[in-house]
Amino acid sequence: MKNFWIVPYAVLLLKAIRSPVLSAFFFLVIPAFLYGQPFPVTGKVTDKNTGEPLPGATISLKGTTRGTITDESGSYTITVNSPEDVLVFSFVGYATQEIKVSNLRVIDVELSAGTFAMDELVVVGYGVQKKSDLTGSVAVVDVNEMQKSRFTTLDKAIQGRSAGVYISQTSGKPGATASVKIRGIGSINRTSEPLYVIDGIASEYDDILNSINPADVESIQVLKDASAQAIYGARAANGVIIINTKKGKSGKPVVNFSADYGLSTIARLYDVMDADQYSEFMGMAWTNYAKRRNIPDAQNLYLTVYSKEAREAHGNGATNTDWQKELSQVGKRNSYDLSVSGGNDYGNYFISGNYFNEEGIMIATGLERFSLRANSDFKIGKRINLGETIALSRMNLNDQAHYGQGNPWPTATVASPLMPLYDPMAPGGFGGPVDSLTAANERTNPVAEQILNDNRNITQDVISSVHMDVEIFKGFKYEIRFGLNYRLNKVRQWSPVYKLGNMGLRDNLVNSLYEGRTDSRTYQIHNLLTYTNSFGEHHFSLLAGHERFAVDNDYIGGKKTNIPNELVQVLDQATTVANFGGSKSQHRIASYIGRINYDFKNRYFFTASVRVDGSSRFGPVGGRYGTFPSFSLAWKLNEDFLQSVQQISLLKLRLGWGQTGNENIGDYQYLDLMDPLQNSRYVFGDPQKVVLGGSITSFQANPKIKWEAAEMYNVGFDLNLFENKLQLTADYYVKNQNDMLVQVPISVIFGKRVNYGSGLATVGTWDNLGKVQNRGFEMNASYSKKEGSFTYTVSGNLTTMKNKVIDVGAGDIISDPAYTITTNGHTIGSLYGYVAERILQIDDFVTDDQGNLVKDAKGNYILKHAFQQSGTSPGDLKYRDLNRDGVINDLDRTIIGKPLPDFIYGLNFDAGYNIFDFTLFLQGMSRFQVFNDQMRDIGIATDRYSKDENKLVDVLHAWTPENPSTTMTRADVEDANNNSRISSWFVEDGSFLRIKTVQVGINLPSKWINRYNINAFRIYFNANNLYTFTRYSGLDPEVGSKNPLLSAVDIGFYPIPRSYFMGIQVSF
Amino acid sequence: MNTLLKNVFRIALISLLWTGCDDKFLDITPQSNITEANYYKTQQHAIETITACYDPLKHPAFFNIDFFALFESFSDEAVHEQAKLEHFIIDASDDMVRMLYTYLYKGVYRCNMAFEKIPPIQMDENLKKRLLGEAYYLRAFYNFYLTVLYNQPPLVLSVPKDIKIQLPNTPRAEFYKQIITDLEKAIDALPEKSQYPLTDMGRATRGAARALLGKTYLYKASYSPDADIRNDLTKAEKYFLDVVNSGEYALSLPRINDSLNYVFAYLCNFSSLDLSTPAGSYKSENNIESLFEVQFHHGGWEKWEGGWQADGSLTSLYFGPNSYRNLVPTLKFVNEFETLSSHPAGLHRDPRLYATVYQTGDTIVYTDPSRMAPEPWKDKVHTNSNITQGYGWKKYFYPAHVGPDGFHNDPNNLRIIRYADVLLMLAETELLLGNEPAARGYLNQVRSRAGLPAKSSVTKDDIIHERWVELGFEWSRWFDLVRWSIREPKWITNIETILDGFKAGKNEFLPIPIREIDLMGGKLLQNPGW
Repeated sequence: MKNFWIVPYAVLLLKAIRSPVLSAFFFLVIPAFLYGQPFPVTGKVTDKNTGEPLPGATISLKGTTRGTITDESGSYTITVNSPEDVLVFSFVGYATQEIKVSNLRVIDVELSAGTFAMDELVVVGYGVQKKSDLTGSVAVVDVNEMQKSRFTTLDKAIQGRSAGVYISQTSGKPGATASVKIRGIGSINRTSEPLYVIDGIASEYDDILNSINPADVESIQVLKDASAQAIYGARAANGVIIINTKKGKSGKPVVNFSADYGLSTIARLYDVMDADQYSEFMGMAWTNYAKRRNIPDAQNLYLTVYSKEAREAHGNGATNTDWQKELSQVGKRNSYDLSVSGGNDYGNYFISGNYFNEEGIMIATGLERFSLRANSDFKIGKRINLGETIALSRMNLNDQAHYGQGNPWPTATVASPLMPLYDPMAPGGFGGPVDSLTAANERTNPVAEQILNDNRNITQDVISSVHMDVEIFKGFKYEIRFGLNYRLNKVRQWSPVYKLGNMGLRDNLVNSLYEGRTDSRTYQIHNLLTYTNSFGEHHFSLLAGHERFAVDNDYIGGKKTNIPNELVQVLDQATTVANFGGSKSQHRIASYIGRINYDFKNRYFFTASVRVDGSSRFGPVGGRYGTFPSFSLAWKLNEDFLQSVQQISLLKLRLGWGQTGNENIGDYQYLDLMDPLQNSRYVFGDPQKVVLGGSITSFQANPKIKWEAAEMYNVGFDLNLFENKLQLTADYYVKNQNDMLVQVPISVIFGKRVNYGSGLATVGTWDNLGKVQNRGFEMNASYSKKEGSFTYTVSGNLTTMKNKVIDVGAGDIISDPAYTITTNGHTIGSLYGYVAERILQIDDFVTDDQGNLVKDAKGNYILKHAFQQSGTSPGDLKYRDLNRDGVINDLDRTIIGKPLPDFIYGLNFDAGYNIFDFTLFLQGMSRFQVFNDQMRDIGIATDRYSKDENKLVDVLHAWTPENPSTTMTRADVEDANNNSRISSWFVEDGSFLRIKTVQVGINLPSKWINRYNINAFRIYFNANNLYTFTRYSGLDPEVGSKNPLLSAVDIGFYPIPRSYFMGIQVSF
Repeated sequence: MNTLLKNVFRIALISLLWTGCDDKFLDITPQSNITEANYYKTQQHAIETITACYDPLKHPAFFNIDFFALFESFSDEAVHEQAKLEHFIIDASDDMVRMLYTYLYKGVYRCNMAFEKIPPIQMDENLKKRLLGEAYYLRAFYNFYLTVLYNQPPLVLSVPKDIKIQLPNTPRAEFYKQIITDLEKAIDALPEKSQYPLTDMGRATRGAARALLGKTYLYKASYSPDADIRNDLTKAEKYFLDVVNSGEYALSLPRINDSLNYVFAYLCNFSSLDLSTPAGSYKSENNIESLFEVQFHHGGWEKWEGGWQADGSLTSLYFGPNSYRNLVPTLKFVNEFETLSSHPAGLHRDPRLYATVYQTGDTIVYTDPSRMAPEPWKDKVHTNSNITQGYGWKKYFYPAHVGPDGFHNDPNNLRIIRYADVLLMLAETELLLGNEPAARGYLNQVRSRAGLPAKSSVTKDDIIHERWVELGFEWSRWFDLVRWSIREPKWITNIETILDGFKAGKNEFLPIPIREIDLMGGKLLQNPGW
């Protein structure tokens, strides 16, 4: 670290002080204070259509942070320095106007409503640009709309708000982060999540959005094409999302307060059997089993455990636990925001605080967040701006319990309804699977696990930056920005003493406490020089800079057991040491940045940028340094050809090309890292003693690896019609991801570590091999209109996605578990499995003259088609023998579904009438398939694990000779045909359209509130995820995953809640 | 303005000067791991490197769990709850098949690493010789199972470097040749068991290498052309006799003629605690009968959290009578134990039955009093109807694996080669060589320890019977059935009728994992039938 901070910058500072630079600096700066004779300008801002005054409109002095806002009568006063100054008049929902002061002392302005601000500034990497001057594809999220819905985290809030951004929620759990993909999936490794840049500082974490209060956000820009992204070089291949937080505006302090309260419910539950139905089904399954296997005794289990008589005899006749219902609850949330902002000629400030508390729709889950922000800017003289952003947040997440059988939701669907919820006699007080009551069903009591085990994740973030910019001479600026993101992540897992039944071994007879801390520091510093000038009609600006980025992570964690007094849950109280650990990692990037923006006559635009990145994730002999260039052109066509067409306000063509990289593969992957000695230890001696083994390299390193290179072409246009009332943006892109970093499977003869996390596969070696192409068309359109006091805006976006693996590199990648395959010519992570054609009927088997089924020597029925398994019977699934070799085996698996939607879209309708406003936001995805993994357990009548699991009520209509069903398999307590294998039987259409937000607001009339010095008072009612139109049979078709290989596999997620709430927003 | 521009360029220049620092800034050393370049320097590193060669033995994918799960359920000895094992419904992508293969090669890789890295290290030359001898033994050990289980996989004799390497099958004969060469080197380099200090108990010994070499010749004979059989058997006889004549090993014999002593004299081979009787105690682990054991211990990592990396065994947890009970003996196996009309201790059945199988009402007679006392054996309801009700797996059972603080790993060593096995293999070799009286002598030694009447003449069936009851639940049965079936088709027929799903010409070997077949780009061929 010494090298990082102290040396270069101290040297710079010392040299600057000693050198004539500083003196020159003061010579420049000090006279600036003396320059010009300030004079005041006054005026009134009104609505062009109605002529009504516009209170609260902003008037700012262009090129400065100085400004003011209009009072209740729409009047303002501002001090300007010279007649050359330009005043910028803006108001939310109105077109911004710029007026040069000249010799005017009174400037009255009429703003047109219902049109978007054409000169809106868009934050691009390391600078801002006028929206109309953009050459690249940059989506600007409508922050006002986004903030209205008051989603808890930013990722949820921006879902469906912009074309080209594919966001799917991975879970409805409070605090869960969504999977965010910009322009498809470009990489199969780690994540394909974009880079987040917050107030100019890049974040190392893809869950950083959780730590930002959505109400603090000023703007969100999505850099979609490579010409815009390339300035972020080796981290930009998955797109870049730039978020800037609010700053104060000149004028008296404005205080905003808002509060809301709401409830959320689970939208859908699986219709599983109740106790009597379960009993009935077990009778059916055991009878069939006994008959098929010719073991009359097998029915005894039914008679002694499951039958109504047996249940009553065991005193368990009344037990009928609905586990899904017991596990869910009505969630509650409340949120309070308070902010104050303001400013004057010398600076501005924005200070906010937020408290947010949400209880999930599953018992004992929730999120509590506190956040605090102070952003300020100071103007020192005319040429120096200094400022800072500081945000503190603490997120306390009460998470799902982690235990052997995984997520509690799927457990709740398969647990026996005969298992009692409580057992006052058992340690812990909860019931569990008892063999005399629930027979083979040893699924644990998910409610007990969730309540008893405390699993907490606390994230404390400091996201801060200081910056200074100096105008050394006109047009030439120096900027230094220093950012520090500090994160402390605390994990705490507490398990008290409990005993759940006598099966499934889910007893915890000794309590245990695990506490882990990860302390992460991200430092970023950049120095930028910019020069902007014009020669006649030629306008240009140049940018050059250097940046360093460093992340240090330290982890320490420990687990102890046996805390005598469970009320004091700290490690010190424990009597047994179980396990302590610690580790460190580091990540560094050093970069050079350059960019040219040029335009001629404000009609022809050209941008070129280059970034050189050096990353510590790659070795000196490999691709440590990478160069990422880009070019883009834009042409305002209407100014050359279509000037006579009044309806066209803008028609701009854009063309771009660029290269970006992805270095997101984890640290030190190019090095031969050796496992700790204890990983290969053995026992010797009498008495026996553990002896440390030799260090073994855990994976075969490839020192030559380099970043993944993405190359993207983009062509698009912006069309504004009818005085900008209708705006249309469309883009088409082709993105080729080359040199994809692939973990090449290597033979086991290399003796490397085996990766349990991904299905026992040997850890592969990284290599730059694969090639993936994403293509797509994106369109954003909006239309705004105002008629009298009725205003409305309709906006929509549409994205098409085509993802194709051109070259998988090291051979097909089958995910672990084997749900998907990544193979040439198909989408990354295509669903993979057997083709289940239909349910086998008696006709499919060999029968004798009397029509009775014939058995072979081993007692199996004889299929007329390909052999499946021993034990295949009528009522089982028939699989297609794809290679026609007469037997169903691994080789008969094929692609059975496409995980990525062909279309994603969002539609927003906003209307205002008088004091009322209304918002409707729809969002949807079309044409993709979901693998419903839960159906393997609950959707077929042959029991997957032979554990007598509970199932859907539908299984009562199981196939029988008398009821030759074509939709439900036969009932059996074992799954001899392996009907539960991964097959097309469980693949479903995932298309959906969701009513994501409906909101009605009432703005109290100003005559009511003005006497209390309140400027605005709004009350609103809101519903999120109100209804989802889909044919999907699971809880929710939106099953995202950060793992690109498992993006449409429903392994039983925490469902996305339906929530209703109301709130107030006050401004004074 | 000129001065100003100059100064601006100065700043720019200073910025550029940082370039030099960037390389240093980016070159960070991992703080949580060492790299290969820093290792293999000292004697201590050499010792550690050899320790790592033993480590794969204790992995659950190998002896610890999967060996039991696979080969006990394949055979007619026990039934597994999982249908896929019981009915041979496994394929080339099966995890168990893949993991066992992985760990065998992991062992081979580590031995090869030792051969590459240890010779240049400056250290005690005697120690170096012994350490390399251990590596020869272990490489032969891993290769033995590779060819016995996977038929003709690639034989790897050096550390592979090129990640794109593609190896073809190696003929079985070459495997045997290499195993024999390695074991001859091991016999030359290794000390006898008694020559090791107590702190090195558990390492490969000369006796273990001889026994494995004898076994290798015996197995090789099963596959050899008729003309070579005699030669192989003569070699097998030589190495088995070397073990017998070394004076290092003997059977653990009952001290007095009571039932407890008869059971304990045998049971001590599967226990982690020395078994005491009023007449004296029986040493358990690494006792006089032991040639090679996988060493387990449950010191610091006794909890389940140790999981796959634990120093303890998981066999009791998976198969034992007070936990998952995944293996249950077949009635056929239980009936195989002789019913006796007279026994020195008055027992009515072969005493080995009581040490091998739990029966209803049986309680655990050897407990560490500080541990939880297990409940009497009571059968659990199994969904697999083939499971014989009323019996359970007992060998290697460790009663206290579920303690009040959760699951424990067991401290119980797994015995890989026992002296009784050597005697029975010797008896078999002698019989095949036509030397029935010698065969009878060795067989009767084993019988007499159990107090069974001596056989007056010995046939192959007697040896088969004796191997089964002596070595039950030591995954010997499956290997024997397969080995015998090569020359005696009656065994194939036998297996086919007993074992549902077994296909002759296919299931004698495991499939080579499909992933490996794919990686070898068509050079590596799958075993027949898979």
